[in-house]
Amino acid sequence: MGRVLEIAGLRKEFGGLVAVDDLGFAVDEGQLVGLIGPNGAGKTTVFNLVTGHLRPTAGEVRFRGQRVTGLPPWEIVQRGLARTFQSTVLFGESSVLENVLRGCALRAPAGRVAGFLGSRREEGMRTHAHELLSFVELEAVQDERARNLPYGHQRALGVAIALASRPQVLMLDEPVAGMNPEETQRMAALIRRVNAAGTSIVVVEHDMSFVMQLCRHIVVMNHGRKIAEGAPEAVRTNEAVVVAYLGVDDDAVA
Amino acid sequence: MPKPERASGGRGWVTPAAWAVVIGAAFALPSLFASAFWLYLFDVILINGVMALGLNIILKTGQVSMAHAGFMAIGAYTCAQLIVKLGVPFLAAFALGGAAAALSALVLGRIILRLRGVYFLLFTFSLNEFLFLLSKNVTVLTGGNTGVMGIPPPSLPLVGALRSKAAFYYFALTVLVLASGLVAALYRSPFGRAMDAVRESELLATAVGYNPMRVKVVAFGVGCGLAGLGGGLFASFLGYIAPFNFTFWESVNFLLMNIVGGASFPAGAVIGAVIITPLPELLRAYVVWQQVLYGFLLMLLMRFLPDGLASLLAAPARALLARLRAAAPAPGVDSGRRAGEKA
Repeated sequence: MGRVLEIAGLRKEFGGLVAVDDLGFAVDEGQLVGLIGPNGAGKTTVFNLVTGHLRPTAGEVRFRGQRVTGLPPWEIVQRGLARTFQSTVLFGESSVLENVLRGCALRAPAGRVAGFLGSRREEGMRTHAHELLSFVELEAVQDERARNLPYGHQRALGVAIALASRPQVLMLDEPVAGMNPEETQRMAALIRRVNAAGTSIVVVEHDMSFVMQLCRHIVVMNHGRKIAEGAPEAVRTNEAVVVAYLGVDDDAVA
Repeated sequence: MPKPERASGGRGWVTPAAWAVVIGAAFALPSLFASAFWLYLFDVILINGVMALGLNIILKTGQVSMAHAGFMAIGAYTCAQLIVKLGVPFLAAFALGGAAAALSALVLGRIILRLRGVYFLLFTFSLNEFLFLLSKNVTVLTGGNTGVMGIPPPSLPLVGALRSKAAFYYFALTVLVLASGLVAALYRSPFGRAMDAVRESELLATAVGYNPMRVKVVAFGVGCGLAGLGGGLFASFLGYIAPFNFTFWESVNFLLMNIVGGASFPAGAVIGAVIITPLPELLRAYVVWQQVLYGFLLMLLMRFLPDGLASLLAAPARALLARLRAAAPAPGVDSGRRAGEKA
């Protein structure tokens, strides 16, 4: 079991504010890792640093042994590290199927000229897109406009778009934010299925109980630093974690 | 533009055949209208069609350019001066005009396409003004306010000079048909999908592996290249160009053509050119009210057809094609049946 993602000494400053400070953790092949912490802990910043949407002030991100720090986001996706978004970010005016097809577009190794002329690849992409839609249970609504879907379906579509590039690691940014309990359970089941199919996953969440039931390995952040790491049982009883969460009562309830 | 269905059982030729009928009718048009006024109008429509089509490519990536007339000017002046001053053959000068516009767009695009929404619009507006002032003041290259005079009509190898308005019509129509073919192919290619992705969400386009900046720069380059070609057509059609042919108001007109015709369809740009170009001419009988009527008509169109006339025509066109396809004999099935009957 090899390391697919390694983060070491990661630091991000916004002006005088240190949002992420000397953060390090690693993800093994096939692992399902949770990154949690109260609001403002710096989780989303870490997420954006790893996926290339922000440049770190210092530190390093290695993906499959190669340094990807500071690469633009599209190159990081091309290497096999895909992401979803915290809010629903979709191609809202287009059909559900077309949304997934655009996610597949990366698998276009046929060269630009051939890609420009040929439509053979299009058939392969359509097959793959239909497989993905049945995987996330959206094939029944494939012709709907994406923005007309109910919230839970939109988030599932977000996962399907990210999976379309056939990533080795999938990073999910607050996948159950704003979901009702039923939608949350569906998303949890979907994440497990994706993981079981061989994709390593990093879930960034502040809903502690959701991550506890889902992940076998958890990294806890507060004030930009890692305060604990390990199995759910160990993390739950960790004093620093209890203080971090219970000290800010609203977050523990949320 | 309807997409050809793969599962149409050997009837895939119906859509191309329908286009062939449309194009054939367009080629027959000059023989039905002998009056110089109508021929002049048709020629201008075709030039505007090329221009609007170019802008359509830029709009497809979600950027609204107000500098389209400026890039038209680059193509027009390049083409005209190469012919008048250096005696370059028309086709080469025409192509170089398009290339000059495309190249300027690729260089400028790298900088200005970082702007989005109204900021890009305002910047391209001032870019158009800048190019306008440049054409007025850099007299060595542009002839200043007097412009470039004595531009000969287009002259093609084997065919010779296209002196009549009808001859020009056939040439301009060929250019428009080829340009439409190019744009249709571009929109159906993976790059077309990339343009749609960038227009709808740059953030998500980035996350699925597109480089939005590159997509926008290439689209801007191709779109402005078509504007340059349109400029070359325009220069050799009028025989005379001056700065006032390429003001910001012309850019507004090319945008209006896309809006009225339907910016989300490539055919919409051409339909828009067909409608917008003759409007001022047709309203000329009411000189005092010309501008008012023009504005009123545009307001009505935008209120009741926000997606343009192409959206109105798309459904009937598709239905007609489906009916034709159903009625058309599928070659394989049909010949088999006939062979059976004979036996």
